[in-house]
Amino acid sequence: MLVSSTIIESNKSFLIYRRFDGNQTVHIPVSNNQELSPVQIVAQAKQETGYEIVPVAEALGLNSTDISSCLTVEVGDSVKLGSLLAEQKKLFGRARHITSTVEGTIAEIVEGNIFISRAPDDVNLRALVSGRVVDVIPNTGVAIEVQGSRLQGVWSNGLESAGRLLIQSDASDTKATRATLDGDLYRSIIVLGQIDDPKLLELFAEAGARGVIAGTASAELYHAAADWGLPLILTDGVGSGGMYSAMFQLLSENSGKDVALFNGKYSLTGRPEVIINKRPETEDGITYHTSRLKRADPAIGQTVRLLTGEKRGRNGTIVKLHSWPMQTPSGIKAEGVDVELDSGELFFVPFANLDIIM
Amino acid sequence: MIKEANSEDHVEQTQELSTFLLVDVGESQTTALLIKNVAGYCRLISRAMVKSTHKAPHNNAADGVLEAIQKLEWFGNQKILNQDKDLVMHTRQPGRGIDKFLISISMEQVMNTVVVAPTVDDPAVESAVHLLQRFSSTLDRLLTGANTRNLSENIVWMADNRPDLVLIVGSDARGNGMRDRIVQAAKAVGAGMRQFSEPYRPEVIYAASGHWTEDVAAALDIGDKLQTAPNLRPDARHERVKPVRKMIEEVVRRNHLARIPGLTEIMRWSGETPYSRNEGLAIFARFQAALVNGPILILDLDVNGLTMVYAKPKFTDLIVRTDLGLGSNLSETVKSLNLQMLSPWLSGYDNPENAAAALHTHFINRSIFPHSISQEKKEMDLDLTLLQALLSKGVKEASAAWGLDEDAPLTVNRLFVRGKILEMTGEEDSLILMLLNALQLQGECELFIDPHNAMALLGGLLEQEPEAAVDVIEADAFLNLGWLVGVSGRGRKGKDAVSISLFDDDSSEPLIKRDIARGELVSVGIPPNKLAHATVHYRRIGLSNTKKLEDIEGLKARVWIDARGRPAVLPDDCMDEWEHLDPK
Repeated sequence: MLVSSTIIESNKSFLIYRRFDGNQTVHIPVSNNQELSPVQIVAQAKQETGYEIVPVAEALGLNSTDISSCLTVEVGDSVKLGSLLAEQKKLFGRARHITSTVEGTIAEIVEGNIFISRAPDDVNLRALVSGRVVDVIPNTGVAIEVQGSRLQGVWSNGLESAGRLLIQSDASDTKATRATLDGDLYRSIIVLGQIDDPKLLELFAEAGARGVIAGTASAELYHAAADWGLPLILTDGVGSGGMYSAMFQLLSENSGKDVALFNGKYSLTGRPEVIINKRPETEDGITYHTSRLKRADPAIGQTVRLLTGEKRGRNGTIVKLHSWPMQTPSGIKAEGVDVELDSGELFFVPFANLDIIM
Repeated sequence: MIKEANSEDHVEQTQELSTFLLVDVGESQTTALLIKNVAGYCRLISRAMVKSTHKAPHNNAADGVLEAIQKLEWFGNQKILNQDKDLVMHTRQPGRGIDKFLISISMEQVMNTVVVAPTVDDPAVESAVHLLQRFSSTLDRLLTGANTRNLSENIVWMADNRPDLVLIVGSDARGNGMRDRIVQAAKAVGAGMRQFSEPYRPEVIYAASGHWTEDVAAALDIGDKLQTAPNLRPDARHERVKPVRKMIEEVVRRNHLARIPGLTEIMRWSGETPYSRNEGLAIFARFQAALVNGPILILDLDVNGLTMVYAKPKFTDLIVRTDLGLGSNLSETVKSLNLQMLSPWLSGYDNPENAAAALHTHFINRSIFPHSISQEKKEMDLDLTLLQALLSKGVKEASAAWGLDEDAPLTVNRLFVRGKILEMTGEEDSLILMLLNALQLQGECELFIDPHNAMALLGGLLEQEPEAAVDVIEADAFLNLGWLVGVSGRGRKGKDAVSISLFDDDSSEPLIKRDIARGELVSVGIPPNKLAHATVHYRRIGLSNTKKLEDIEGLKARVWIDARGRPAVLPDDCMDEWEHLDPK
């Protein structure tokens, strides 16, 4: 039985992949066994930046079929800013010139228009974490061995960043308001129990924050976050329950440390991840064990959280595995387990609503 | 092909096939069915369902297929895999081996498509858009030569957006200028495509007038990337869908299915080429429409989309709405729904604003946790409203393609439902009321549910082993929930709407006779283990106002009468309680 599982782990070593999708030409300026800092560039790619269209026929007052004698470039030529594209000679040695307004390559000349493919921009992929390169994947990126703590979210807006972990909630279910914010938000990854007000996102961006980790958010904030320019990870979903207590505790214990937010596109589980990173120069005496990446099957004694319903986000332990589908109060029959919550409450939870904490 | 076959027991394929393994790899679930010939009839022996494994952390669809088969071995007491996990084929030993393996695939990867036509209002555009909906394809852009000022913009768009498929359509029946226009549009396509390096160039299918082929090919200038099909819509009254459909199927197979992690491994391992679940569903729908000689509807909701198949004798139409699935798109779909309008269907909220807010939150959480199950009544109500909204939107918007009026109640002889619709509704009462509310069904309709995910698989089997497939369809595959009766028109609440008399086939005396008033919801049970029939007498409908419902049988079959009238009017009709009548 394959059941959802979430990694919450501290003092482990694990791999982080920093890579492009393989559709670009990628330069990798680091090598195996190299120690990395978060700001270090680990892969560089060229990103196409679109086209500039120069309406040559219109500019010269000619029909599109009559411009060939005026053209000074052909498809495939490289041009720089100011390069001559077309020249219309006039009487007494005078001439009219059309020049390029961008650097790039002549892509097409169609219907009197010159299409210049703009020179691609360099896109730099930074490590975002301290660690050691353990694998260089040609034309793609690197795998970095990282030591520290990690937890997985359930949703992210797809962006990535790194900064200083800043707890801005006094409890896992505290709702963020302007009044609850305290301290310098600059370069910080802000941790909140729950957040409802989309205006806070603007405030965070103006204050120079680097991103947000929240337990739950309102539906309005969810939509606003999808278009926000900074990363946001939700650990529990949309609603008002706040953050799963074990995650809030782990984050609180690491307040002030370096943290990176990954969107999960290239993680082994496909889930967004929060990495609290140990700096290589820190001699903290902690032993870092290798992370267990394998998914866990449900078993008696296992810690779980509930993904949905009024008890969403609550912590419990599996006390019984059912061999046959059981009926829920809503009338749906499903395979699942009996879970005893920390409060002592015991009830049936379908596998589909269960999240095994690893 | 690696298949174990004991030489002594090996049976030539010309002999009768008696054991079938059918596997469907879906976006969320992988299903395996074992069908065996028992005493001359094929029967569904066992079924196994596991989570599909084509995504992280497994990234290999083959893992889920093997897990499902192993589960099936255990449930069905049939040895299917040998020690090396290869299929055991063609043995005649009891409980060992299979004779036929079929696999269907449904992982809807949205294909981005450009349609090129001479003008926006060319009838071929409608045909093309409709055809593409069968392939979970979205029309990203319609390029026409009608407005040459857009040429530059079109070239840039092509280069920037890199579509997967370009479909060129159009008819020369509309005059001389059409050739120039489509050539103009083709130039934009060709110029845009040349910006892609060879592996990333989209496939181009030309299905427009045969008179323009050479001119368009010259304008495109893309060499062997161009495939030519007969004109999709030679004139306003004729369509030739099949050849183009085949070509698109091939594009999907080559470019999309091949990208599913583990699929190549499954093909190598089994020696079988998977067919699309949609193909199987369409075959199954055609069979059912022919069987009842009337319209039938299949609804299948999954994480990645809502699939609807509407079939009548000599007409089958399949539409996949990837925007109406339960996955990440749902958070976008919710923006296009009027949640305030939906809120009267929910009870237990102080005001419509609170109900709309609860719906909004629930819809987004569903998109984050599409596989979760509602445990409490309150969650279930939200799920039912969500399902109602998605199904209603999907069917209404498909009506025109089926030649129906989108505002009129729907009339079908049979309705089949499967997938998340069943997982999310639980009890029959909730499921049936949700379907009646969503579809506004009118007249009499037999309802079947597909708990084994068998429709598409049996569609595939219908093509290859029709007798085996028909045996299973008739006997085991579906759960018959009986007849839904939707009373048409509006009337004063409390006035007589319909009367029902239920008989068992051994007696002429009715077991139950009941007058049902406008506004009531009544279900009538049948005697256990007996064949029953019912007569439904509609009041004030006209001369032919009595209908006979024949051969009602099955453990769960009932007659469900919705006398609220059509269309349902809120808040009067948002009731959620059935009155159940059962024979003594």
